[in-house]
Amino acid sequence: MTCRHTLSLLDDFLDGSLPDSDVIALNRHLDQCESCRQEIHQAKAVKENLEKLPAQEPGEEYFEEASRLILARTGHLNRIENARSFPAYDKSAAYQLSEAKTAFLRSAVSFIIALFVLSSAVYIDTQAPGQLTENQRPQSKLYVSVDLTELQNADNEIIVTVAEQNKIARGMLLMGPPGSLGRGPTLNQILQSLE
Amino acid sequence: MIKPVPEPGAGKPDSTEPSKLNPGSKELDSNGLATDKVDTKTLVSRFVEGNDQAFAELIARFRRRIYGIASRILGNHLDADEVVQETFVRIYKRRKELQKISYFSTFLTRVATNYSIDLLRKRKNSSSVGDDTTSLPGDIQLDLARKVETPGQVLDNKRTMDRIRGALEKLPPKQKATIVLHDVEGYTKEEIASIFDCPQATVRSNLHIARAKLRKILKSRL
Ligand SMILES: [Zn+2]
Repeated sequence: MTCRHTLSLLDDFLDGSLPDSDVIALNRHLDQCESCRQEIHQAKAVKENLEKLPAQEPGEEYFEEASRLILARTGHLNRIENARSFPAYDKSAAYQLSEAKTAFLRSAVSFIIALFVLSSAVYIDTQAPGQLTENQRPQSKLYVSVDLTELQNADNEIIVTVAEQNKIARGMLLMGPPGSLGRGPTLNQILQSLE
Repeated sequence: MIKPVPEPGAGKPDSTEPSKLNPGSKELDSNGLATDKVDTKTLVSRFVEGNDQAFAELIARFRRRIYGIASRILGNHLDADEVVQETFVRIYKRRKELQKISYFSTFLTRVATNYSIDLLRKRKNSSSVGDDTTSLPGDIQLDLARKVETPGQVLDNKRTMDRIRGALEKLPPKQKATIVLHDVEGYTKEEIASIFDCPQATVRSNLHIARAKLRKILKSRL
Protein backbone atom coordinates (compact mmCIF):
# COMPACT_ATOMS: atom_id res chain seq x y z
CA MET A 1 0.00 0.00 0.00
CA THR A 2 1.33 3.40 -0.96
CA CYS A 3 1.25 6.47 1.30
CA ARG A 4 -1.11 8.17 -1.14
CA HIS A 5 -3.50 5.22 -1.05
CA THR A 6 -3.29 5.11 2.75
CA LEU A 7 -4.19 8.77 3.04
CA SER A 8 -7.10 8.34 0.62
CA LEU A 9 -8.58 5.82 3.06
CA LEU A 10 -8.03 8.11 6.01
CA ASP A 11 -11.52 9.60 6.11
CA ASP A 12 -13.33 6.29 6.03
CA PHE A 13 -10.91 4.96 8.60
CA LEU A 14 -11.67 7.90 10.89
CA ASP A 15 -15.39 7.49 10.40
CA GLY A 16 -15.23 3.75 11.02
CA SER A 17 -16.64 2.95 7.60
CA LEU A 18 -13.55 1.26 6.19
CA PRO A 19 -13.94 -2.46 5.37
CA ASP A 20 -12.00 -4.80 7.66
CA SER A 21 -9.68 -5.97 4.89
CA ASP A 22 -8.65 -2.37 4.22
CA VAL A 23 -8.17 -1.70 7.93
CA ILE A 24 -5.74 -4.62 8.15
CA ALA A 25 -3.80 -3.40 5.11
CA LEU A 26 -3.76 0.12 6.46
CA ASN A 27 -2.47 -0.95 9.85
CA ARG A 28 0.23 -2.97 8.16
CA HIS A 29 1.37 0.17 6.34
CA LEU A 30 1.21 2.28 9.48
CA ASP A 31 3.51 -0.15 11.27
CA GLN A 32 6.19 0.66 8.74
CA CYS A 33 5.50 4.30 7.88
CA GLU A 34 6.17 6.98 10.51
CA SER A 35 4.84 9.78 8.24
CA CYS A 36 1.40 8.19 7.72
CA ARG A 37 1.26 7.27 11.40
CA GLN A 38 1.77 10.93 12.30
CA GLU A 39 -0.84 12.03 9.79
CA ILE A 40 -3.45 9.62 11.10
CA HIS A 41 -2.65 10.49 14.69
CA GLN A 42 -3.12 14.16 13.89
CA ALA A 43 -6.34 13.54 11.95
CA LYS A 44 -7.79 11.49 14.79
CA ALA A 45 -6.88 14.18 17.28
CA VAL A 46 -8.53 16.91 15.20
CA LYS A 47 -11.69 14.86 14.75
CA GLU A 48 -11.94 14.00 18.43
CA ASN A 49 -11.46 17.63 19.38
CA LEU A 50 -14.10 18.69 16.89
CA GLU A 51 -16.53 16.25 18.49
CA LYS A 52 -15.86 17.88 21.86
CA LEU A 53 -16.03 21.42 20.52
CA PRO A 54 -18.34 23.13 23.01
CA ALA A 55 -21.31 25.02 21.67
CA GLN A 56 -22.04 28.49 22.95
CA GLU A 57 -24.74 28.36 25.59
CA PRO A 58 -26.86 31.49 25.47
CA GLY A 59 -29.16 30.25 28.23
CA GLU A 60 -32.81 29.26 28.41
CA GLU A 61 -34.02 32.87 28.58
CA TYR A 62 -32.49 33.58 25.22
CA PHE A 63 -34.34 30.68 23.61
CA GLU A 64 -37.66 31.75 25.15
CA GLU A 65 -37.14 35.30 23.91
CA ALA A 66 -36.08 34.12 20.45
CA SER A 67 -39.24 31.98 20.23
CA ARG A 68 -41.38 34.94 21.23
CA LEU A 69 -39.77 37.13 18.57
CA ILE A 70 -40.26 34.50 15.88
CA LEU A 71 -43.91 34.06 16.83
CA ALA A 72 -44.42 37.81 16.88
CA ARG A 73 -42.82 38.12 13.44
CA THR A 74 -45.03 35.42 12.02
CA GLY A 75 -48.09 36.97 13.60
CA HIS A 76 -48.83 33.95 15.71
CA LEU A 77 -48.28 35.16 19.21
CA ASN A 78 -51.20 37.58 19.22
CA ARG A 79 -53.60 35.01 17.87
CA ILE A 80 -52.47 32.39 20.37
CA GLU A 81 -52.76 34.77 23.29
CA ASN A 82 -56.13 36.09 22.18
CA ALA A 83 -57.46 32.56 21.99
CA ARG A 84 -56.16 31.96 25.53
CA SER A 85 -57.49 35.06 27.28
CA PHE A 86 -61.12 35.48 26.28
CA PRO A 87 -63.21 35.29 23.12
CA ALA A 88 -63.34 38.30 20.83
CA TYR A 89 -66.94 39.27 21.62
CA ASP A 90 -66.13 39.55 25.34
CA LYS A 91 -63.34 41.89 24.51
CA SER A 92 -65.60 44.09 22.39
CA ALA A 93 -68.22 44.12 25.18
CA ALA A 94 -65.55 45.31 27.59
CA TYR A 95 -64.55 47.93 25.08
CA GLN A 96 -68.16 49.13 24.74
CA LEU A 97 -68.44 49.39 28.53
CA SER A 98 -65.36 51.55 28.73
CA GLU A 99 -66.74 53.73 25.92
CA ALA A 100 -70.01 54.20 27.89
CA LYS A 101 -68.07 55.08 31.02
CA THR A 102 -66.08 57.71 29.19
CA ALA A 103 -69.25 59.22 27.69
CA PHE A 104 -70.94 59.37 31.10
CA LEU A 105 -67.89 61.00 32.67
CA ARG A 106 -67.78 63.61 29.93
CA SER A 107 -71.45 64.58 30.31
CA ALA A 108 -71.10 64.68 34.11
CA VAL A 109 -68.17 67.08 33.85
CA SER A 110 -70.08 69.25 31.35
CA PHE A 111 -73.07 69.36 33.68
CA ILE A 112 -70.95 70.42 36.66
CA ILE A 113 -69.29 73.20 34.64
CA ALA A 114 -72.68 74.44 33.40
CA LEU A 115 -74.02 74.45 36.95
CA PHE A 116 -71.00 76.42 38.15
CA VAL A 117 -71.39 79.07 35.44
CA LEU A 118 -75.09 79.47 36.16
CA SER A 119 -74.64 79.71 39.92
CA SER A 120 -71.82 82.23 39.60
CA ALA A 121 -74.03 84.35 37.35
CA VAL A 122 -76.77 84.26 39.95
CA TYR A 123 -74.27 84.96 42.74
CA ILE A 124 -72.72 87.97 41.02
CA ASP A 125 -76.16 89.35 40.25
CA THR A 126 -77.28 89.04 43.89
CA GLN A 127 -74.05 90.60 45.17
CA ALA A 128 -74.10 93.61 42.83
CA PRO A 129 -77.57 94.36 41.59
CA GLY A 130 -78.27 97.46 39.66
CA GLN A 131 -75.91 100.37 39.11
CA LEU A 132 -72.22 100.43 39.79
CA THR A 133 -71.24 102.95 42.48
CA GLU A 134 -68.81 105.75 41.76
CA ASN A 135 -65.76 104.05 43.34
CA GLN A 136 -66.39 100.76 41.54
CA ARG A 137 -65.73 102.54 38.28
CA PRO A 138 -62.23 101.97 36.89
CA GLN A 139 -59.87 104.82 37.74
CA SER A 140 -57.47 104.29 34.87
CA LYS A 141 -56.97 107.30 32.62
CA LEU A 142 -57.04 105.08 29.57
CA TYR A 143 -60.57 104.11 30.37
CA VAL A 144 -63.17 105.94 28.32
CA SER A 145 -66.81 105.49 28.87
CA VAL A 146 -69.28 106.70 26.32
CA ASP A 147 -73.03 106.91 26.51
CA LEU A 148 -74.19 105.93 23.05
CA THR A 149 -77.36 107.99 23.40
CA GLU A 150 -75.33 111.15 23.97
CA LEU A 151 -73.11 110.80 20.90
CA GLN A 152 -74.00 113.64 18.59
CA ASN A 153 -72.56 115.04 15.39
CA ALA A 154 -71.70 118.67 14.65
CA ASP A 155 -75.38 119.42 13.91
CA ASN A 156 -76.45 118.06 17.31
CA GLU A 157 -78.02 115.02 15.71
CA ILE A 158 -77.80 111.63 17.48
CA ILE A 159 -75.27 109.45 15.65
CA VAL A 160 -76.36 106.07 17.02
CA THR A 161 -80.04 105.62 16.39
CA VAL A 162 -82.36 103.98 18.92
CA ALA A 163 -82.69 100.94 16.61
CA GLU A 164 -78.91 100.63 16.46
CA GLN A 165 -78.68 100.95 20.25
CA ASN A 166 -81.15 98.09 20.57
CA LYS A 167 -79.00 95.94 18.32
CA ILE A 168 -75.87 96.77 20.29
CA ALA A 169 -77.61 95.96 23.58
CA ARG A 170 -78.83 92.64 22.28
CA GLY A 171 -75.31 91.82 21.02
CA MET A 172 -73.80 92.70 24.37
CA LEU A 173 -76.30 90.47 26.12
CA LEU A 174 -75.38 87.60 23.83
CA MET A 175 -71.63 88.07 24.04
CA GLY A 176 -70.95 89.25 27.53
CA PRO A 177 -70.36 87.09 30.58
CA PRO A 178 -73.59 86.39 32.43
CA GLY A 179 -74.46 88.79 35.23
CA SER A 180 -71.84 91.37 34.41
CA LEU A 181 -73.84 93.26 31.81
CA GLY A 182 -76.93 95.32 31.78
CA ARG A 183 -76.23 97.27 34.96
CA GLY A 184 -75.66 100.61 33.41
CA PRO A 185 -78.59 103.01 33.56
CA THR A 186 -78.42 103.52 29.85
CA LEU A 187 -78.71 99.83 29.11
CA ASN A 188 -81.59 99.50 31.56
CA GLN A 189 -83.31 102.28 29.80
CA ILE A 190 -82.68 100.63 26.47
CA LEU A 191 -84.11 97.36 27.72
CA GLN A 192 -87.14 99.13 29.10
CA SER A 193 -87.67 100.89 25.81
CA LEU A 194 -87.66 97.51 24.08
CA GLU A 195 -90.85 96.47 25.87
CA MET B 1 -35.84 16.58 -4.59
CA ILE B 2 -35.24 15.75 -0.96
CA LYS B 3 -34.24 12.17 -0.54
CA PRO B 4 -35.83 10.27 2.31
CA VAL B 5 -33.05 9.95 4.83
CA PRO B 6 -33.25 9.08 8.50
CA GLU B 7 -33.86 11.91 10.94
CA PRO B 8 -30.48 13.53 11.59
CA GLY B 9 -28.92 14.11 14.96
CA ALA B 10 -29.49 10.56 16.14
CA GLY B 11 -25.94 10.32 17.47
CA LYS B 12 -26.18 13.61 19.30
CA PRO B 13 -27.82 14.22 22.65
CA ASP B 14 -31.49 14.94 22.22
CA SER B 15 -31.92 18.60 21.56
CA THR B 16 -35.65 18.54 21.98
CA GLU B 17 -37.23 20.33 24.86
CA PRO B 18 -40.81 21.07 25.82
CA SER B 19 -42.19 24.48 25.05
CA LYS B 20 -42.04 26.82 27.98
CA LEU B 21 -44.06 29.54 26.34
CA ASN B 22 -47.06 28.62 28.44
CA PRO B 23 -45.91 27.20 31.72
CA GLY B 24 -48.60 25.34 33.58
CA SER B 25 -50.95 25.04 30.66
CA LYS B 26 -49.83 22.18 28.46
CA GLU B 27 -51.84 22.15 25.28
CA LEU B 28 -53.60 18.89 24.74
CA ASP B 29 -54.17 17.43 21.34
CA SER B 30 -57.29 15.65 20.14
CA ASN B 31 -56.07 12.43 21.72
CA GLY B 32 -55.49 14.13 25.04
CA LEU B 33 -51.71 13.97 24.65
CA ALA B 34 -49.44 16.83 25.56
CA THR B 35 -47.86 18.36 22.45
CA ASP B 36 -44.33 17.58 23.63
CA LYS B 37 -45.20 13.89 23.39
CA VAL B 38 -46.43 14.22 19.81
CA ASP B 39 -43.94 13.18 17.14
CA THR B 40 -42.46 15.76 14.83
CA LYS B 41 -44.28 14.49 11.77
CA THR B 42 -47.69 15.00 13.41
CA LEU B 43 -46.66 18.43 14.63
CA VAL B 44 -45.55 19.40 11.13
CA SER B 45 -48.84 18.36 9.54
CA ARG B 46 -50.74 20.34 12.19
CA PHE B 47 -48.48 23.32 11.55
CA VAL B 48 -49.18 23.10 7.81
CA GLU B 49 -52.92 23.00 8.59
CA GLY B 50 -52.50 26.28 10.45
CA ASN B 51 -52.19 25.11 14.05
CA ASP B 52 -50.32 27.90 15.84
CA GLN B 53 -49.46 25.83 18.88
CA ALA B 54 -47.79 23.21 16.69
CA PHE B 55 -45.50 25.87 15.23
CA ALA B 56 -44.57 27.11 18.70
CA GLU B 57 -43.79 23.54 19.71
CA LEU B 58 -41.65 22.96 16.63
CA ILE B 59 -39.62 26.05 17.42
CA ALA B 60 -39.13 24.90 20.99
CA ARG B 61 -38.10 21.47 19.80
CA PHE B 62 -35.49 22.53 17.22
CA ARG B 63 -34.22 25.96 18.28
CA ARG B 64 -31.23 24.58 20.20
CA ARG B 65 -30.11 22.40 17.33
CA ILE B 66 -30.33 25.29 14.88
CA TYR B 67 -28.50 27.57 17.27
CA GLY B 68 -25.75 24.96 17.75
CA ILE B 69 -25.16 24.58 14.01
CA ALA B 70 -25.28 28.33 13.35
CA SER B 71 -23.03 29.30 16.26
CA ARG B 72 -20.43 26.73 15.21
CA ILE B 73 -20.47 27.78 11.58
CA LEU B 74 -20.55 31.50 12.29
CA GLY B 75 -18.66 31.57 15.58
CA ASN B 76 -20.68 34.25 17.34
CA HIS B 77 -23.97 34.70 19.14
CA LEU B 78 -25.39 37.62 17.19
CA ASP B 79 -25.16 35.85 13.85
CA ALA B 80 -26.41 32.59 15.37
CA ASP B 81 -29.42 34.45 16.77
CA GLU B 82 -30.14 35.92 13.36
CA VAL B 83 -29.99 32.44 11.82
CA VAL B 84 -32.32 30.96 14.43
CA GLN B 85 -34.98 33.63 13.91
CA GLU B 86 -34.65 33.87 10.16
CA THR B 87 -34.75 30.08 9.75
CA PHE B 88 -38.08 29.73 11.53
CA VAL B 89 -39.58 32.76 9.81
CA ARG B 90 -38.57 31.25 6.45
CA ILE B 91 -39.98 27.88 7.47
CA TYR B 92 -43.24 29.64 8.32
CA LYS B 93 -43.35 31.38 4.95
CA ARG B 94 -42.58 28.12 3.13
CA ARG B 95 -44.89 25.93 5.21
CA LYS B 96 -46.86 24.79 2.16
CA GLU B 97 -43.70 23.03 0.94
CA LEU B 98 -43.57 20.99 4.12
CA GLN B 99 -46.40 18.77 2.87
CA LYS B 100 -44.06 17.37 0.24
CA ILE B 101 -40.98 16.76 2.35
CA SER B 102 -40.17 13.56 4.19
CA TYR B 103 -38.01 14.91 6.96
CA PHE B 104 -38.71 18.21 8.61
CA SER B 105 -35.42 18.42 10.48
CA THR B 106 -33.44 17.93 7.25
CA PHE B 107 -35.43 20.71 5.61
CA LEU B 108 -34.94 22.92 8.66
CA THR B 109 -31.22 22.20 8.80
CA ARG B 110 -30.94 22.95 5.11
CA VAL B 111 -32.57 26.37 5.53
CA ALA B 112 -30.41 27.12 8.58
CA THR B 113 -27.17 25.92 7.02
CA ASN B 114 -27.70 27.76 3.77
CA TYR B 115 -28.52 30.95 5.63
CA SER B 116 -25.44 30.48 7.83
CA ILE B 117 -23.23 30.02 4.77
CA ASP B 118 -24.71 33.13 3.13
CA LEU B 119 -24.10 35.11 6.28
CA LEU B 120 -20.55 33.78 6.58
CA ARG B 121 -19.79 34.78 2.99
CA LYS B 122 -21.21 38.23 3.64
CA ARG B 123 -19.08 38.58 6.79
CA LYS B 124 -15.95 37.35 5.02
CA ASN B 125 -16.46 39.86 2.23
CA SER B 126 -17.08 42.78 4.55
CA SER B 127 -14.10 42.10 6.82
CA SER B 128 -10.84 42.00 4.90
CA VAL B 129 -10.04 38.35 5.36
CA GLY B 130 -7.20 36.87 3.43
CA ASP B 131 -4.24 37.85 5.52
CA ASP B 132 -3.15 34.60 7.01
CA THR B 133 -0.99 36.41 9.51
CA THR B 134 -3.58 36.34 12.31
CA SER B 135 -1.80 34.02 14.67
CA LEU B 136 -3.50 31.20 16.45
CA PRO B 137 -3.06 31.24 20.22
CA GLY B 138 -0.22 29.20 21.65
CA ASP B 139 0.85 25.68 20.91
CA ILE B 140 -1.75 23.03 20.33
CA GLN B 141 -1.95 20.05 22.61
CA LEU B 142 -3.89 17.42 20.78
CA ASP B 143 -4.20 14.96 23.58
CA LEU B 144 -5.69 11.59 22.95
CA ALA B 145 -4.64 9.52 25.92
CA ARG B 146 -5.39 11.79 28.86
CA LYS B 147 -8.45 10.77 30.79
CA VAL B 148 -8.23 12.79 33.99
CA GLU B 149 -8.04 16.54 33.62
CA THR B 150 -5.89 18.62 35.92
CA PRO B 151 -6.54 22.40 36.00
CA GLY B 152 -3.57 22.79 33.69
CA GLN B 153 -5.06 20.32 31.27
CA VAL B 154 -8.40 22.12 31.35
CA LEU B 155 -6.51 25.23 30.31
CA ASP B 156 -4.73 23.19 27.62
CA ASN B 157 -8.08 21.94 26.38
CA LYS B 158 -9.46 25.46 26.26
CA ARG B 159 -6.43 26.50 24.29
CA THR B 160 -6.90 23.52 21.99
CA MET B 161 -10.54 24.41 21.39
CA ASP B 162 -9.60 28.01 20.67
CA ARG B 163 -7.06 26.78 18.12
CA ILE B 164 -9.60 24.45 16.54
CA ARG B 165 -12.06 27.33 16.28
CA GLY B 166 -9.37 29.55 14.82
CA ALA B 167 -8.50 26.91 12.23
CA LEU B 168 -12.19 26.44 11.35
CA GLU B 169 -12.44 30.17 10.69
CA LYS B 170 -9.95 29.78 7.88
CA LEU B 171 -12.01 27.25 5.94
CA PRO B 172 -14.25 28.34 3.05
CA PRO B 173 -17.94 28.52 4.14
CA LYS B 174 -19.15 25.34 2.45
CA GLN B 175 -16.25 23.22 3.70
CA LYS B 176 -16.65 24.69 7.15
CA ALA B 177 -20.36 23.91 7.19
CA THR B 178 -19.69 20.36 6.01
CA ILE B 179 -17.12 19.60 8.68
CA VAL B 180 -19.25 21.24 11.38
CA LEU B 181 -22.29 19.19 10.41
CA HIS B 182 -20.34 15.93 10.11
CA ASP B 183 -17.66 16.01 12.77
CA VAL B 184 -19.20 18.39 15.31
CA GLU B 185 -22.94 17.89 14.96
CA GLY B 186 -22.77 14.21 14.01
CA TYR B 187 -24.79 14.26 10.77
CA THR B 188 -24.10 11.43 8.32
CA LYS B 189 -22.78 12.05 4.80
CA GLU B 190 -26.16 10.95 3.47
CA GLU B 191 -27.94 13.55 5.58
CA ILE B 192 -25.50 16.27 4.61
CA ALA B 193 -25.95 15.39 0.92
CA SER B 194 -29.68 15.82 1.48
CA ILE B 195 -29.18 19.11 3.34
CA PHE B 196 -27.00 20.55 0.57
CA ASP B 197 -29.01 18.81 -2.15
CA CYS B 198 -25.81 17.42 -3.70
CA PRO B 199 -24.31 13.99 -4.36
CA GLN B 200 -22.70 12.16 -1.44
CA ALA B 201 -19.42 12.16 -3.37
CA THR B 202 -19.37 15.95 -3.10
CA VAL B 203 -19.86 15.73 0.64
CA ARG B 204 -17.03 13.19 0.92
CA SER B 205 -14.63 15.32 -1.08
CA ASN B 206 -15.60 18.50 0.79
CA LEU B 207 -15.07 16.72 4.08
CA HIS B 208 -11.74 15.29 2.92
CA ILE B 209 -10.46 18.69 1.79
CA ALA B 210 -11.73 20.40 4.93
CA ARG B 211 -10.05 17.88 7.23
CA ALA B 212 -6.78 18.04 5.33
CA LYS B 213 -6.79 21.84 5.48
CA LEU B 214 -7.60 21.81 9.16
CA ARG B 215 -4.72 19.41 9.82
CA LYS B 216 -2.37 21.54 7.79
CA ILE B 217 -3.34 24.73 9.59
CA LEU B 218 -3.00 23.12 13.00
CA LYS B 219 0.24 21.36 12.12
CA SER B 220 1.91 24.48 10.81
CA ARG B 221 1.38 26.09 14.19
CA LEU B 222 2.93 23.27 16.16
ZN1 LIG C 1 2.93 6.05 4.49
